[in-house]
Amino acid sequence: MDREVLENPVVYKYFKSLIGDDGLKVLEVIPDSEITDERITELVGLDLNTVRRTLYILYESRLMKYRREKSENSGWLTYYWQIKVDELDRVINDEIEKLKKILEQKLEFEDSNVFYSCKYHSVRFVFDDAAQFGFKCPYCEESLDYEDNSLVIDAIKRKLSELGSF
Amino acid sequence: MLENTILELIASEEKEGIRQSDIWKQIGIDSRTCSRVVTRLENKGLVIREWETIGNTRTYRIWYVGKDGNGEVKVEQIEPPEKVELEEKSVSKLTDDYSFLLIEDTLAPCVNCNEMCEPETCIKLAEWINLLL
Repeated sequence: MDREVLENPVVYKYFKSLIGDDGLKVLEVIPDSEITDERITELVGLDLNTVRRTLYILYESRLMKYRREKSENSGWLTYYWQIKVDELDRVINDEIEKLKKILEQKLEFEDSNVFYSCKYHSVRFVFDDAAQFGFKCPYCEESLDYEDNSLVIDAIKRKLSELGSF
Repeated sequence: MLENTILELIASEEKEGIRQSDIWKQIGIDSRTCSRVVTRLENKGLVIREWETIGNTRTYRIWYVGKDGNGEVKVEQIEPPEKVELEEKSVSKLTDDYSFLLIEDTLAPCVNCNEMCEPETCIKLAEWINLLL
């Protein structure tokens, strides 16, 4: 894959979270044209299973396609793989849309609830649950403290504003 | 719910009304949260409020007006609740470098996440947002 594309920090991190470090090595040797999994194995020096696993993950993410050919003599199938670089923009923008919706959902939850937490246990309760426990931690009986989440709300709004929201 | 607790408190002072500052002090929440909840109640037509100045401090006095003699919510006072409408813009045009997926150098944990998505309670998401604080 074109090194320039992988130089984008988000693209690089996206692939790293998808296919891991070994997968990135596979990606770096994949050309724009078709290539077989055996040839990739030779180029990258990893075992065939790791290479195939990477190719299938990329295929499932619609970033790779294949064509197979049957040998007339042996009947063996050969898979020719090709990367779909053009799809990358759509795939990453799908992730951006997904994250936007997740942050909106999180913002709505933070904005419409009041939270209480225990200073000894990393637990957080909404008002109703805290009231049910008599504003005492169910683990240690210590009083629950009111938690000011205004900074979190501002942070989410700030993040969403990068997309022109707020 | 907190909204009900505050509404009950306001309703208990039906004639005199109650100061907004007294509400958050009594319940033990911060003034900002109290203001948000009272605004929601006002938008639903359940309470009305007027400015009141005590010394140098300005606060609201709030009255419960939610129900008329028949126990029905007064429809004429109900206004549509405040809603934050997010502008629909073309994401790709605004994020050529895709940096929305990053805080500092850390990729959003939601990217390629296969776990059941519960943004409200997801610890990984909360930790990622905390990078902004």
